[in-house]
Amino acid sequence: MSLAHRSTAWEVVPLTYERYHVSTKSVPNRAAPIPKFVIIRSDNCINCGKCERACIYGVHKRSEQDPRKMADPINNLCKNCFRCIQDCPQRALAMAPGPDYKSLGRGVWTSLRISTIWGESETGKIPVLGAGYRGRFAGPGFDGMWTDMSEIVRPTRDGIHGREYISTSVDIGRKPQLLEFSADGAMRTDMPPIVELQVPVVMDATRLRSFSDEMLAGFASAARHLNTLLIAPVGVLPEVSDSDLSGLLVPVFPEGTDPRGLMLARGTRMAELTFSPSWKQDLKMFRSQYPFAVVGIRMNADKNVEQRVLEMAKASVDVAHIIFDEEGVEPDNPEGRHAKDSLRAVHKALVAKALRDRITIISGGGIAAAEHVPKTIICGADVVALEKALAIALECRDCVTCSKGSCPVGLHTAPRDWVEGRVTNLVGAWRDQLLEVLGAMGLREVRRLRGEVGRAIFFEDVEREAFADMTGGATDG
Amino acid sequence: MHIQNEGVGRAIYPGNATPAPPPTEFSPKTERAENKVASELAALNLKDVRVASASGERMLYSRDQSEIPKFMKDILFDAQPEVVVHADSLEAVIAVVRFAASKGLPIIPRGSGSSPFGGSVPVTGGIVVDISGMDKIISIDVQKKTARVEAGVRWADLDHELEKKGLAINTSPSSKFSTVAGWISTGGMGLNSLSKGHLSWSVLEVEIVTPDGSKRTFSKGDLMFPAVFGSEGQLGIITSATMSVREMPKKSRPHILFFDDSKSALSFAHALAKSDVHPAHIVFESASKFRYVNRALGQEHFKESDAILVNVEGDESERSFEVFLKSTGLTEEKEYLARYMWNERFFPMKVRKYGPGMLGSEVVVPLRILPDALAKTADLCADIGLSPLFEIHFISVDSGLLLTYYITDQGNTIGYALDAVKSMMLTSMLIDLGARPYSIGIWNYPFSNAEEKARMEQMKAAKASLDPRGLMNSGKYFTLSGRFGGVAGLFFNPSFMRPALKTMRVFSPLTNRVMRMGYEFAERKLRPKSRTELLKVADECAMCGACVSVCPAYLVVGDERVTGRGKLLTVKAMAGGAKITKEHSDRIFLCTRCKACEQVCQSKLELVKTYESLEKELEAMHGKDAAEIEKFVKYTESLPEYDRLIERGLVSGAPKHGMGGGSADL
Repeated sequence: MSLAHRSTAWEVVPLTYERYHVSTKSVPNRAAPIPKFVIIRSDNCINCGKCERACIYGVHKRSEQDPRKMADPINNLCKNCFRCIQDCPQRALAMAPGPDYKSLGRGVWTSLRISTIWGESETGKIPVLGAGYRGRFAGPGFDGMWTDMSEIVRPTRDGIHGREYISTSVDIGRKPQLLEFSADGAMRTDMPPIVELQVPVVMDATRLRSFSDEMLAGFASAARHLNTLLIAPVGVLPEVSDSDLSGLLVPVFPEGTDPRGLMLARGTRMAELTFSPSWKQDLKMFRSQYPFAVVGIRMNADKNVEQRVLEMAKASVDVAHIIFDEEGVEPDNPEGRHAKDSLRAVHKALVAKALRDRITIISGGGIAAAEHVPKTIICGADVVALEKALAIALECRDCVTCSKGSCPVGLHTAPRDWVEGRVTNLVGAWRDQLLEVLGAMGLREVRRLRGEVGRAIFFEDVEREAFADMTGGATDG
Repeated sequence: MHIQNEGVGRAIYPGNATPAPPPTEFSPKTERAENKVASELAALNLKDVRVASASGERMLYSRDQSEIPKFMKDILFDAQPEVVVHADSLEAVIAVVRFAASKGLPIIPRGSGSSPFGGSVPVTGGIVVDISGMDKIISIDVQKKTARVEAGVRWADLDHELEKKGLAINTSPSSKFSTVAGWISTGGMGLNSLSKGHLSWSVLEVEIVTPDGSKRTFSKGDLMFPAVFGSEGQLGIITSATMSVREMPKKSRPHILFFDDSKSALSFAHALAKSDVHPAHIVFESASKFRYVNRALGQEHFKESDAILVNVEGDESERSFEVFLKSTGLTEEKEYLARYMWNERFFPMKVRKYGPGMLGSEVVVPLRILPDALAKTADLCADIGLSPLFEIHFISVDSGLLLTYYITDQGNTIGYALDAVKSMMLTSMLIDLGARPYSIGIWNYPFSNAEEKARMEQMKAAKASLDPRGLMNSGKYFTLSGRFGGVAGLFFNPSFMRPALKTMRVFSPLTNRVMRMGYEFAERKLRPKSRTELLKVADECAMCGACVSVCPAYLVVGDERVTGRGKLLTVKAMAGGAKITKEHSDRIFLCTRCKACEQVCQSKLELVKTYESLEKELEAMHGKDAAEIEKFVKYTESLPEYDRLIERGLVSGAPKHGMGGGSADL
């Protein structure tokens, strides 16, 4: 389904019905993965091969050079089932949490989330993390909200693709509040430009610590595949800008760009300007040159974000791209709110002024797991921007040494096909999980999830309900 | 707990593709050998019989635990058997014996080959019948406390099976990896003989195949029964035995006490043996032993003086021991020291590595002459330049098994031969003092006339009745044959050798001087010839065969060349300039790298490392057959016998009550 409105004349386009589907395939790791568990084979191993027969995951194998000896365990295949340890007649095996795994990640980018993204990017499948959830049930940020009726206990029996269709498509752009028609039936409303995505997820490469042309080209191919957009600094990927992929590329113009000299590649459907005090003039100038492009304004979230978005909606900005930091918190603000609170405030303010559909909200930053997508949407965003998750999908270890020019996994040597496959897998896996959530809620469209805070339980609400009325002995009078 | 693989379903992870089913059979390449006897025997296609005719494999059977000087092995004797037969059942033994008898070939029965006296080594060729494959424990009667076993069962295996039923063997040889028939045939004296008596007390019935191919059974009380013990394969091939066993002692507690001199140590031991403590076992260890133990441990854990190690079983006995100890006013050492030394009883060969090599004499000495004998042996050793270790196992209230060990360098041909003569001088002196040889074999033949007259008569009568043609282990015991019309027999004849040894002893200063010339010559001529690291390990090996009994590869291939002992003998053969065939070389690679050999190694050698360097040398010569190795590994690990072996033999040393402990019984 593709609706490309290029003319103001309304015509009914015969649609060919085709279910949107992300086809995934295994894209193996390029670097040696960091194992979650480390099997330690001690010296009293007698190379009897019992562990090989015990392990259904293929951790234990005989050495290929000398089949008389056991090879070192392939730790990253270990699922922590302890069967080899139990079956070893010598008690020669022991298991420990991987030391590198334990030191992986920081903040919301926990080692579990990072390794989950690795797995999703490799297989394109919903991860199976093992029996039981051993973490806390509440925490800061998105961990303080629980989506209703949608804990993914196990993949549904008939599979998410076997059920009735659930749409994950969203439209980017402002929507008119009503349509006007003339007496002869012609539509009089001037339709604003709209970009339809099949997933409520866009890629944003502008905030990656480092990237190569191959990576960007891979992202762009994935975007085409997924029918979504790649937001990237203006001027990158000149060959893509000239090709039929240009429609997928959203150039970002940095603050201070002279709006009169803006050049958009042919076929560009959307562009982003960076927030500045003169944003209204910038917008006007941009519109005068490219009236049919969707225009977004990027801004760092702060305590006035709802006020600014409101102004933008009033000024007919198509998209407000709200940026949070890696932790999902308003940047440059020591008391910054988490995206879930910021977005709720923005959504609420827009709804209060009946402007919600006049603007599209893209939220980026702190999106570290599949569950963060529906949670961000529940809080009021239309679209979620993937940033760091894209790098993690390419096996990034979040070690920050790229700023020093070294990368343990050689991200810069990642070939474009591989990048495309990994990112496609990640988005495919995340979409499948989104479908599970929607399916469990009984929703058939992701559009319906936007701002549906009733579909989630917020920890602070629960806490208030449980404890706020308790007086604890002190009374007013 | 074992989860069956069935029903798990298709592999869901890329690393876990369904493995190919294991091969259903495995037989390694064999070298062709032009050997008439072997091909005739093979043509009979006997069941449970494996005929080994390759010279590389037969080489292993031209010796036992002791290192025979090359000139003796190859010149004086025809020590290489014409053919080696592994007979794994009674029927097989009968068939092989009939075949040999029909050809008039000597029959040399062999167990694990762990005795050092040459009893299982041919002197005039013939057929060696290896019965170590007859290793079934036929039945264990918990009520009657008896066990019936095939002849090739090893004591450790029997004890292991008994332990599961709360039982234990009465007595055991210091090499628990020797076979039941082997110990019946050679000595029968060992650990716990003090409390449980000679092996013949425990054995109730012996089944034996005589050279006429018939099966005879001798029970306690039969006239022939006592003759079987110590018969050294002269009467027939033992095929099974029934013996009484005992309840596993609830508690076993070793104690160790140090003394200022050997006399006080021995009198303490004597008093203890006669007391109402009824200790299970008493060992005297000389001060020099602890010098080596400390050296091996790298720390002065033990006092370097004479000691008594005693093992006490049961609470009551333990209490009596405490009372006894109090009455003597002596204090014992810490428990862990005693336990360490008690554990070392199964590793008497450890000190070999300081030679590398060890020689010694082993005699049964009446207790009344023991202090004197010990002193005189020490004096003689000082005279002829030996620094010996003494160990006395008390085998009854009035006699002990005196072992005199000393370190030698067996890589030095002349020095080693001279040291071997010294061991005979020691034995000869002890015999003259009134001791008896422990076993005869080849090396103690000069002392065969020291056996009790009655015992000799008994053996002669039994031999005449059971083996009138003299096929069994021929050329030994009653006489000693060899090449050149038995020149060795003349030389080793008691009436020549004993006076000769006595003369050497009496003029020991002179003897010593003459010998020193020999040593100096050896030093000058032979030292520069450096020894490779591999050969050094091979020389350190005691050739006790403990590794053979636990080797899964031996279980599959049946060729001793795949075992530790076989590989180290290959090293020696290579060092001696022997040509190793491609087939021989390929067999060396058939190994599971299970390290079972290392676990049971008497000399605590780093065997696997040694195998790797041997393989490297062989690979350079012949390459390796990777496909055969892989097939071998896959086949081996699919065998249920292999599973049993790893559940049993290899778990020693692992914590019993650890996670999954005793997993076989869950």
